[in-house]
Amino acid sequence: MLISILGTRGGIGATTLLSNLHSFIRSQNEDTVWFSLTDPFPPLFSVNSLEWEKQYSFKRNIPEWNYNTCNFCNSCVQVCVNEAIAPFPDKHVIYSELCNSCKSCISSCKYNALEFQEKETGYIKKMTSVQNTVLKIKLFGREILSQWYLRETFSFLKNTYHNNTFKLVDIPSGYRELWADVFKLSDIVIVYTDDPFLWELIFKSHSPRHANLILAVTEKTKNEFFKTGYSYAIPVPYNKEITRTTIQGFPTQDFDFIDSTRKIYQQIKVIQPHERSSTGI
Amino acid sequence: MKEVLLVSDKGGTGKSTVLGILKNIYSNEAIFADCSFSSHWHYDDKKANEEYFYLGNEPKVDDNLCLFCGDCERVCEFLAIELSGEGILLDRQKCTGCGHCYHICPANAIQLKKINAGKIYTIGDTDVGLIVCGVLQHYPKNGTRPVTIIRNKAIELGKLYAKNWLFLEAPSGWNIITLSLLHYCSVLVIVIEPHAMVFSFLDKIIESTKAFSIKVKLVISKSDINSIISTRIIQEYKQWEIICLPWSDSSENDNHTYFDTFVV
Repeated sequence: MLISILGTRGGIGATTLLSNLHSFIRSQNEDTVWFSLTDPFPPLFSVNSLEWEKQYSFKRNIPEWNYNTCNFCNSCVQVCVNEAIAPFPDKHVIYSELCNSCKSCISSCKYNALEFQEKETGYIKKMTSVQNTVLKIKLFGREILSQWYLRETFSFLKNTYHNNTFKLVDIPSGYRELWADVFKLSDIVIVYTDDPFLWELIFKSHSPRHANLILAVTEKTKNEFFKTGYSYAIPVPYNKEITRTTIQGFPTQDFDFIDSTRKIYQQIKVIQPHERSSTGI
Repeated sequence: MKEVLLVSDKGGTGKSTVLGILKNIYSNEAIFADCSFSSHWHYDDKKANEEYFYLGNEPKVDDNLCLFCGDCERVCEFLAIELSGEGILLDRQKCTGCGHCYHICPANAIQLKKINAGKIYTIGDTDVGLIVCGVLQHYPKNGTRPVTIIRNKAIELGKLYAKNWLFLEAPSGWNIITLSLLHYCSVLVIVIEPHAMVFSFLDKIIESTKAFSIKVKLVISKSDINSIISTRIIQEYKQWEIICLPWSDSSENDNHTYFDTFVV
């Protein structure tokens, strides 16, 4: 069961919520895996020594420029829609973080000066210094999280871990272009928002063939959601004590917060039997 | 017009709060640009201007001209276009706008259409402070372009109203998008929370800003919730001006006079 959390704005507390949900699910003796697609890692999982082991390599086809055959006609520079090739007086530089492997440059080159080369642009690493299964993405240089990385990551998770294992994925906020794939590829998406208008847009355009949605809302805005008919919205509190324990690396003791995570877990269990029966156990 | 860039390693550190404080101080001297697309501005009311922006292309097939030859499907590197019983199907998520299908179509049945990527809003007025911000659609191809569009609009307005300062809020994280905004700024304001992971972020910034002559200021937001880390940050990054902001339930009512000379 792959569960993603999508915070509709940065800093709403999605990682805090998901990391506490992780603690709760573990306390119910369920197999869980945590995957962080965000760079800052929840302090909850930090121990004094952070030791990692590489699990999976991201390899992308990036064009390699050949000095010997290039005629400096710059057709490749003109044809690249991503402006990923930069011409210099003595060489052409290909910025892999901008390249999406569309092959337009290779096709346009009459001198065979460009050729695809498989390059490692990042990897998935697993923390070895803890008992939990904690994974994180690492991208090299200026590589940026994209739909391609998201799809590779989700395939890796589904192929590596059992169907019944709870795979919790922390999606970074702000990558609006990833949302459609998150909805398509996850089993459940926890949408954590303070914006009823945005939720309405997501809810109305959501396909029943995609992930099941769980709505979590900030305590401050819960009445706006209840008023507009979303009575199943789960309110999540936010205060100094919760932020303090999270930043110092402990699961929160706040009773209302734990209650929110319990409610989310209950909704997950309601959805889960439908998933299980499809695998025919 | 001098540029001030606000960055952070993750969302929720308080960049927008700090920008709000600076907005109250510099309201009529500056123009404000929210390049983070974090949708926390109330753009339904008081919006001065609203315009669409377009990024990238998408194929549009004319069914009357289509020969159903399947060349577009064969040439697509991303399996985004498919010939089916019902005609040509496009998977907008997989399409990258490279244009191979458009070039290969023997019947010229495919046109490349610009994608409506989102809206750019200009809110407020020159007394209270003009803010340029935006919302992204579900499917835009990202990269540095949305951020550049907001910045360009802010510069246009800044020149028009003869403003001295441009305050930009970058999206969270340290990547090519943030770096693309770094070239132009003379002051970098880093807003962080005091957590254990912040040191590698700050070291990355030191490395990246070596080549630029930028004044760096650090704001430790919610500094009192982890005083051990806050103290360590202050000791290790002495070369920067550092302000500690304690936790506040509602920062609008707080006294922020120490920000008066922050960017001078």
